[in-house]
Amino acid sequence: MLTRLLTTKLHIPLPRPSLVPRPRLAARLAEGLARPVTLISAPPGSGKTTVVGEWRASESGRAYPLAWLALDEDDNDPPRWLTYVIAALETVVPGIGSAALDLFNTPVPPIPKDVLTVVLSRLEGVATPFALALDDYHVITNPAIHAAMTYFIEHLPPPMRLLILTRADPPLPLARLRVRGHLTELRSADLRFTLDEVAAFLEQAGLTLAPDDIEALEARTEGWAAGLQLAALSLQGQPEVDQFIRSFTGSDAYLVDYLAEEVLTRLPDDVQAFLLQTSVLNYLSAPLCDALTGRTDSHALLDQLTRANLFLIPMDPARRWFRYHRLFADLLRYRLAVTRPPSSAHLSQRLTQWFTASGLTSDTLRLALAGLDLAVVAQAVERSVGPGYAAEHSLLQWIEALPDAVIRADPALCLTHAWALVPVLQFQAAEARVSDAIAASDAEPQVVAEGQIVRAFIAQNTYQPRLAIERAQTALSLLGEEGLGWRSLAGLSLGMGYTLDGQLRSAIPVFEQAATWGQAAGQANIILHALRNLGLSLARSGRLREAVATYERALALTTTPSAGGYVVLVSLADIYYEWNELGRAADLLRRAADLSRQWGNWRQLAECHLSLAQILQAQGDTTPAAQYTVEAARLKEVHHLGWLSPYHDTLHIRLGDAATALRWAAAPECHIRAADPPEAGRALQQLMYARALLAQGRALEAAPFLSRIRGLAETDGRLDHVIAALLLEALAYHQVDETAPAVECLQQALTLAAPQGYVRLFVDQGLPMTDLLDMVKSNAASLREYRAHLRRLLPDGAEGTVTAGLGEATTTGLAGQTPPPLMVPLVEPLSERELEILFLVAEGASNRDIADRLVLALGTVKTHIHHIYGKLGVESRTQAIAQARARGLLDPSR
Amino acid sequence: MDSMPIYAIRVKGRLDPRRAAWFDNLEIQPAPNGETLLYGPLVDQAALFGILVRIRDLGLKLVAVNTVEPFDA
Repeated sequence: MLTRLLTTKLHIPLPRPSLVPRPRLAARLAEGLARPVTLISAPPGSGKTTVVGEWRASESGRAYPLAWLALDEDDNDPPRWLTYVIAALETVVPGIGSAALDLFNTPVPPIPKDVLTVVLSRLEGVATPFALALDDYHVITNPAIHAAMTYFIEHLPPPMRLLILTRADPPLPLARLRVRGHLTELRSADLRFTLDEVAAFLEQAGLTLAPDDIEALEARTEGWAAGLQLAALSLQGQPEVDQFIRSFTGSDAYLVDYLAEEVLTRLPDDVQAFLLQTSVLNYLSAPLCDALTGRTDSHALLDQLTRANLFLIPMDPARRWFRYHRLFADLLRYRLAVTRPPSSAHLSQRLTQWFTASGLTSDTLRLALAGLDLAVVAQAVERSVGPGYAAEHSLLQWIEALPDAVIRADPALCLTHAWALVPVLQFQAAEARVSDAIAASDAEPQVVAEGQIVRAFIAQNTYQPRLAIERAQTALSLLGEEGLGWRSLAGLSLGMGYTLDGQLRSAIPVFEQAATWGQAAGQANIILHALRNLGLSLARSGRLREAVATYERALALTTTPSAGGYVVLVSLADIYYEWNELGRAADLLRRAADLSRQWGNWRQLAECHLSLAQILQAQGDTTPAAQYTVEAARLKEVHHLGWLSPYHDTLHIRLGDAATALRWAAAPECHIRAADPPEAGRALQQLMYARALLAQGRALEAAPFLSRIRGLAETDGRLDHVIAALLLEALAYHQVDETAPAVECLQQALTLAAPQGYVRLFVDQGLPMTDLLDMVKSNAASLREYRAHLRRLLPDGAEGTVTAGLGEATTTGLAGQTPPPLMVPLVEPLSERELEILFLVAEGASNRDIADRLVLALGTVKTHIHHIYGKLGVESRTQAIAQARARGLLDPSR
Repeated sequence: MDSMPIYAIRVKGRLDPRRAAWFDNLEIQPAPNGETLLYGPLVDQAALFGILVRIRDLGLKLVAVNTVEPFDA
């Protein structure tokens, strides 16, 4: 779910006119841009942003493409952070983000690293230098973002520079950057005003002071920019300058308190009131200030305050948006809290209306948290979410920042909280919130219904299909006719419950209904999900043609390629594969693979490769098929994908030789035994196991197992599994020369499969299927034709071209291919310190040298080196360096 | 609440005692050398870090952070 972008966050701060130029800093910054990363780390009010503004105003700075992003607390939500980073980069490298932003069109937020990979690949092509500045980086506290930033820094393309402005050093690999000479730093000592600069500054402000006074001011403010600016403001119009300076420099008081008092009390009362009232806003605009204060002249007042240098900073060239300097806002807020009670409910109401109309929901929340009416927040949160709201990290944070009593008293807020908790798997807490909601509303039907939908999703996520069905049904019975959005969501959860329970026949009409409701309610995400699930249910119950039509409908819905689109493409490819329309299936899969590559979704890409391998194998192209399989395995390895979908995991085994399947069946992780009862959720694995039994010649164990699997599939209406089981049963009987039952099973399979034109289920069985088909004497003409069609696709006699999935023919083929050596990923990554040491080792430094360079004890260095050996699996310095080179650990761009 | 650790945080400069609400109601006391002592119980480390961030964001200089043994009354 994309938050609306606040473009004011992307405006480069404008250099302020009455500023004393400090060319030494602009020059340092300009020079510093020769290095990849520049860190400006200093307390608030030190002039960090101003330095950049000033450099921008210089000749070299003006031409330099600079992307700006002013971070705030909300940006701790990785999708939001990424969206803004991309939007900022888009201002200097147009078109860079479109592919990456597509990643967000999914119910599940993408992994930051995946998105950055896409962004980085787009940045590769940029030839001219450019910089991305991240202002207020200290507000970032989410480790996931620090990790993403580290990744970003390590893969920074050559022309790109990163500028980080922060109040505290960020947890990024600064030490490593320093060691490599990749970091420029401007710190508080650098930003401190020198005596000459203080003198120039005061002169600029129209103040003529004695050298002693200037020195005293410099000492008292310690060259702190904000302190100096406040001092200059206080001094202006001060009748007794000498006396003021004496009392100020003689006082120990926190100088912001001291000076602001001076500055504020000299302002007219209504301006003071305006400042205090508007201090609760993070971003100010004239209409917003009018709404908040009830004035009509905010525009003129804002203009006046800017010109008076009252820490009001314009954020866009058109001067529509402003913000107070953080330090000043903080001071004003504290004074507001001390001097005035929180605004009236009436005022909050007006503000909420304004915010709702403008879509600035997070700010509404922050407003409320800054001391306004808490009940207003509850309403705002309620309005900002609809049915099926995908949890947003920041939403959860905002809600949880509210006192428990406030949440508990508001049913809508309870439900929103519950919704936000489900995707982060906090089921108990979510259940508790549903109970709170019901209690707070006196069991109002709408609230109970919405609560039951939340509970249905929880039941489904905890594999309790019956419970999920029951809850979704309760919800549907309680929901009124008009709440179509909620009805479609309830329908979706009911259908998914049925699917999980194997009740395909019940699921189909429910998904259809959910799609219709979703359409009426304009819930694109729900329609897509409903159609995709409908297609799947239709395909599984053997209604392939209807499934294709449904998938096509879903594809038509996704105008931009989205993750939902990927799933539909793959499902559609499965059907064309079954129909032996291999070219068409391959085209669809290649489109799906392109999408996954574009988004950096490696699991999906690996799955596409396996499906493509299956197609190539079906076409008899064993070598490229093997390459795809190897590539899929590599992706799994490199990206630490523990599993693929059950379908693809079994496909992976089927693509191997007979021995692969036997190893899989014999492995301790494979908990399937021939005596097990059939399980709808594990039918694929159970069928796979039966195949493995057949490959071992254990037909007598396989046959009864298959018959039980088939029984359940028949009850559930899973036609594909019924046919697959029948075919394997036929092969089992054939293996023990029981011709009559073998032919009987095959006849049944043919009868079931003919109307929908299943092909690959038969043909993938290879040579044994040839023998079997030759034994069948078909009676009906249509069936005869169908049989003949299948027979033509099957290999003749002993040497066939079609490789069987798992028969005698498969012992050649893939087994002959030796996969290229894979770089096994490190079990545990090297720490920053270890990398630093490894770097020095590679430079030929001795342990003693390293200890001296890094100011460590010799013993500590030895311990580190010991750990490095362990992690790299080596025993000597030479081996360690070789390993590090091979892994690119010493690559200076890291 | 007697199990909560008591902290004594020293910062440079004198702070308006009315700011106490902004420091988790720690007591704000003037200290020698133009310093201010923020004194009182804090629930846990997270609360302590919250206070330290406040101090940073005001541009105040942190001098020392100590825990104090509560003495029995």
